[in-house]
Amino acid sequence: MNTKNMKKITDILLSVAAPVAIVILWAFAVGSGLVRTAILPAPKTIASTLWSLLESGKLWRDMSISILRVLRGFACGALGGTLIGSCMAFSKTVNRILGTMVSILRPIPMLAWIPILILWLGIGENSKTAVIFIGSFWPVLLNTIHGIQSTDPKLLEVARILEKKRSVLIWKVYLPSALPSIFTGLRLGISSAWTCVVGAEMIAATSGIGYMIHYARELAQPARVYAGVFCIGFVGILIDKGLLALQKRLLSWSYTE
Amino acid sequence: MEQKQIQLTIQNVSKKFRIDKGTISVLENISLEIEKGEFISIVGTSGCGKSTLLKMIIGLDPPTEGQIRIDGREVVKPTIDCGMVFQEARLFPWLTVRENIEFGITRPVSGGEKDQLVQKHIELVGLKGFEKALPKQLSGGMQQRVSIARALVNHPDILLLDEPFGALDALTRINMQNEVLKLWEHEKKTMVLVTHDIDEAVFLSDRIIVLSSRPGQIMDRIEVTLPRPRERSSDEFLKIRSKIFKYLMTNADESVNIDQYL
Repeated sequence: MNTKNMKKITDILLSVAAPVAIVILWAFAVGSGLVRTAILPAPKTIASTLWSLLESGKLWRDMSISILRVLRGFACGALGGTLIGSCMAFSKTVNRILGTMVSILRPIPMLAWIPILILWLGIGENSKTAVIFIGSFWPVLLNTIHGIQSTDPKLLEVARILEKKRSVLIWKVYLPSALPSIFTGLRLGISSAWTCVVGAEMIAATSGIGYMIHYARELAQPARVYAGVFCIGFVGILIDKGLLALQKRLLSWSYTE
Repeated sequence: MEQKQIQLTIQNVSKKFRIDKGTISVLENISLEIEKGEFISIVGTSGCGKSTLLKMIIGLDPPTEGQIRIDGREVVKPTIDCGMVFQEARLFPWLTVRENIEFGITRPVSGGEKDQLVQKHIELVGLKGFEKALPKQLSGGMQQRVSIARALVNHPDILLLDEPFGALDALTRINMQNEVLKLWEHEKKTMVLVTHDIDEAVFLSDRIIVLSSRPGQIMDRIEVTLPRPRERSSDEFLKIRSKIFKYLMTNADESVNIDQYL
């Protein structure tokens, strides 16, 4: 028990060592005048900017707008990805019909979609939702297909011997077995969604965390830029850790320990 | 005298596989009649097609020539009249012991009856108290017990066992053989066991079918009439054992001097 705790503490120390070292080096570089504060403000300045942004509620306002956009787009992307992915995995015909489309559309980078979507949907909320939808759709789609297709044929054989109907096969064998992979797709999808919202907001928006960063740069407020970037990273890690914890809880059978 | 009833008929069955441009003959001209309630073992060296034979009996793979009939009906696809246990337990890792066994039930039964059926089979294989465990929490032997319970819960007429204890350690294997013997005496099912473990075959079977190596052909059918439970070190037991051993060794490699093994 004691050694286990010791190991846990060592693990935590090791994982924070690099960020802490960087912050110390950074403070030193700025303090000694090696780097101009217009390019890289001191960690202390950024922390106090972050604090004032938090206190005034501005940060939370922009953040919550971005988070809502992500949730809306991600919900569509996750739903679309799992549904279309399942159809493609279960039906060869659907796979043939959509397969070519997928291989043409998938390599298009997110940033290339933004001007097209603005043309189609304007600069309002819809174009942002669409960007996030596309960004989160692909990883969910591909991981769903992969998960279903890699169902253990030996388990399928067992179900065949037991004369199970196709619907039972799908709900009781294919989908549970694909769940860990689908979940991985969801995790990749939401981090991609978070990346996309910031990108979209930097190009065309009047609110949101991406907009806040972009605007601060135009006003030459580097501390705000860094505070915003830090927040993006922080929320990103929270989302991923949250989903990982959920996955471990729901899919404990797939973890060997 | 009790009337003998033929349950499973294998008639002139051959199996060929196409590999690249050629064909490989795996089984040749197998004919066999298995009585209701009989315990029969099929032994042979690896690659002699004994597992292929089981796959054909259960209807996963059709024979190239010949016919397999269960109770007079030709086997064309898997049916729940025939249960199967594989070398690996093949449990669904996301289901508990109870749920895995419940998955075995395909016949329509009421909820209460279902619970009873599952509970009965959990107890039958000695897993009481492990109902809620996941497969990953069980040992190999326990997993195989669940797999046997899952195959039995449908009340199949015939139980096929494809090297079910091959992956278990020696002690667990002997334990499981005793368990299967008890199950067979209790459930009175026809059992067909494929194995390369000669001791296992002699310990359990009424009749042992010895297959030659590829293409698999029946070399001999050996009746074992020793009373059960059989003493593994008795003279009779060892005599049958070495007879089968001789068959397999001479067949496996002509150049091996078998006397050095006996």
